[in-house]
Amino acid sequence: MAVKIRLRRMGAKKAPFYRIVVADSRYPRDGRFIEEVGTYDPTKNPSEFKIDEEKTKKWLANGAQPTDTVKSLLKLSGIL
Amino acid sequence: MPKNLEISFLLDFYGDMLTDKQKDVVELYYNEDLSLGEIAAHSGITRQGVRDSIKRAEAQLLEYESRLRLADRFREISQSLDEIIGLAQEIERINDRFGASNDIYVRTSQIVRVARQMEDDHEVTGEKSIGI
Repeated sequence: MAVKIRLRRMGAKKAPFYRIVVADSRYPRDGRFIEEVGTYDPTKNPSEFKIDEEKTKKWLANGAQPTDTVKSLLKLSGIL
Repeated sequence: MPKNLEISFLLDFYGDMLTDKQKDVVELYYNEDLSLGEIAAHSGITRQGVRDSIKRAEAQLLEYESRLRLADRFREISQSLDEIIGLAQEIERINDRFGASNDIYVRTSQIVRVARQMEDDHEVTGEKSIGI
């Protein structure tokens, strides 16, 4: 079973807002996720990225795979 | 390569001009952040097929934007409206400090109200123009 760390878009039409969630890759569509570890708001200038570093590191250590998008955000914030 | 989340924003404006299948795939790719492989596995087409479909849809969205500029203009107008609201509220504060004229207060709150209304209206017109 693969666990992924991915973005999930929330927010209204024309006002995107993302959560960073840990989710099982087998059920990508059903909206379920294991844990929320952060948020990303690209509408703010500069865009706002909040992340729970401790939880994220714990998940990464346990083999959760971040998607490329999340990976680049983690790199920007210095976690990776 | 990291995904260009701008595409997800364009999808709000021009999504209805794509076919249902295309829209679905782009939504999974950008809004649910699935990989090509995952989308392929879940939709029963090949990874390459998913990729082609996304690339084609992206090109279409960018083409619409370069011609219609709905997203760009939406941003510009929202920004200007925020600025207008901020300035009106500043006038209100200055008025409070020096004189507190009721006439000025009534007009500044009117400006704020009209600007807020325009922000909402604008979203509605934006959606309407997609339907045509």
